[in-house]
Amino acid sequence: MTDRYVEIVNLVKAYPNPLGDAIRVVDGFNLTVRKGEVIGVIGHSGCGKSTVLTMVAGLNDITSGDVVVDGKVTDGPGPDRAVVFQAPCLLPWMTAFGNVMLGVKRVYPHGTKQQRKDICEYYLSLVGLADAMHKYPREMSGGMQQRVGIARAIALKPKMLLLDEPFGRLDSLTRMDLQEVILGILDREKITTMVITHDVDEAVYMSDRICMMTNGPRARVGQVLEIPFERPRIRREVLEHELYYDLRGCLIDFLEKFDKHKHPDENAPDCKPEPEPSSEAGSLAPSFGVYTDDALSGSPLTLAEIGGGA
Amino acid sequence: MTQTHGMTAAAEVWRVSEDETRLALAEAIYGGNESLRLASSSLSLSTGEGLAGAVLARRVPVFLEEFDDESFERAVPARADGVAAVLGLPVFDQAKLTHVVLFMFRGGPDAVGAVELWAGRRGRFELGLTEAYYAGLERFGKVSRHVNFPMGSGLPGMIWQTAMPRVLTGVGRSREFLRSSGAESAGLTNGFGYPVIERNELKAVMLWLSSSESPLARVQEVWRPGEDGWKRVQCASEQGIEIIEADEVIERCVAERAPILAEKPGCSGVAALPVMIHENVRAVGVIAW
Ligand SMILES: Nc1ncnc2c1ncn2[C@@H]1O[C@H](COP(=O)(O)OP(=O)(O)OP(=O)(O)O)[C@@H](O)[C@H]1O
Ligand SMILES: [Mg+2]
Repeated sequence: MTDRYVEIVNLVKAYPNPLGDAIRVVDGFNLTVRKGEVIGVIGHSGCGKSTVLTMVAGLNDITSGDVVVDGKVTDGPGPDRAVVFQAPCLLPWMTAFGNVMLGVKRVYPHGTKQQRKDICEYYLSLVGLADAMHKYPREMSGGMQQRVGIARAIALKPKMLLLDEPFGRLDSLTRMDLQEVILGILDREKITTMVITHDVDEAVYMSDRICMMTNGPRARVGQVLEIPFERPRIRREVLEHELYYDLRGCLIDFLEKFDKHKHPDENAPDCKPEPEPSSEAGSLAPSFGVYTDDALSGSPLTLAEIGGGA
Repeated sequence: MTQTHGMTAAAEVWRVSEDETRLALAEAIYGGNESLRLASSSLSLSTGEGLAGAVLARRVPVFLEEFDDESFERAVPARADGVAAVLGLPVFDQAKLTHVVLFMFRGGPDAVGAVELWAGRRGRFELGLTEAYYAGLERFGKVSRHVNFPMGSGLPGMIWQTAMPRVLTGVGRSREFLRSSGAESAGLTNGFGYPVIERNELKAVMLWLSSSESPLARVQEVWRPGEDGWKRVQCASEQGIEIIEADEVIERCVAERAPILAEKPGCSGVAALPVMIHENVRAVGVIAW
């Protein structure tokens, strides 16, 4: 169960297209996440990262497929999944404390006033805001506001934390500070996390595995890279690890291969290339089933499990 | 014709007995290694015995880099020929393990090439590297151990999706070959992949990644049945070698539903590997070295 704590199964998002058939932005996204694992998601701009994340969050309708968290098929948003976006969206008329309290009231309806206060204070101090709890958003820097957003998300004690470019708008020093804040919290609370980032180094530093998405439309998982560095992570040790630059290179290679400007298309082998599986072969992707007959179409394939576990 | 020094030293096909307990040598190509031929001529193995026996017992591909007489019954003559790694590959006809193909690979300081086995990761929708032999590709090998492919992605994922052998040229540049880190600079050129399928289930994917300096395979092809007979649908070859005239090898492979070895002008050996799903031989992968 903890091996497959979160299961994203054959997730599809089609947006209506005024000019014709609906556009499948994401088509057959599959990912299994272990409990407490941090999954980085990278891919070119517009490929569908946020679309996947908001579907997992329940904030964006799923065209087809399932998101299963801790054995339950999700249906819409819920306090079991907390989201942090690039901009923290704090309520301007409330202090940092008030903004965090808003969610805490919802998930601890039976707690006493003092208990709720303690929870808010605890999480605000975890993100380094012990001295700024009573500031209003206008009195805080972007980085501080984002810390409030993180505290607000984590105070919900979610089963899954979803971060969509959480540091995208911050300068690089603040960004590094906040990476440490998040990693510190994740080490302590072991929250299963999905974090979208455009920064290859950030992905390597923060993730246990990095999911690389292919270009849209019909985007899906292209490759998954395991990051074998131990936790808690120490930035200098990670940077000096013998595999660091090769792992990073692997991500950059992937992004370059899917860079539309650099690669028109060149994957054809010498002879007549094998016809690519038709679009219907998208139905292959659910991945479990057996090759049903000798025809290619509609023939999902069971994957026998040998070795390589975990 | 100048013959480059290839990495593939020898190949054998072992036939599994009807009751799946014994193995007999059916075909072999030793590339002139007489002591290996002699050591092999009267050999027969049973379940668990030697490398082919280990494949029969475990029903998965088995890779040996560190081998002794017990794990690989002909360790001495093989080593004398510079063999650095041996792969035993099961071939299933539906649920029955019918053959074990053995490939022996040379190493040495100048060799560049990779043989990899990819298989399902427990509880995931991905293929990960389970075993591999890397010659001159240390960094490439280290990173590859951390890479996983979903169905349809990368060379292993494409083979999984299509249930077919696959040939790839220009692995360093190809969009289908995603691990180009070091692959191109190390001199890898062509790739060949073959799915091991048991009872219509993917068990593993075998990949050969060759360099032109020391190719594992100098010709790699995929054949499929067409309206008027079997056709070559994909191929890649090294400079200086023509396409192999493999029609009758394919014919035997399809008729006997068995892996076939043959000797052909211009190369040391040819192997034809069938992919069988349900009643059909769906495709044949051909490699020549
Ligand atoms: N409501 C919508 N209607 C139609 N198309 C949409 C809608 N929302 C997003 N899209 C399209 O879906 C695709 C994926 O968008 P998404 O925001 O998920 O990409 P992304 O990977 O998060 O990009 P970025 O890295 O720039 O944030 C884009 O092509 C976008 O134009
Ligand atoms: Mg986005």
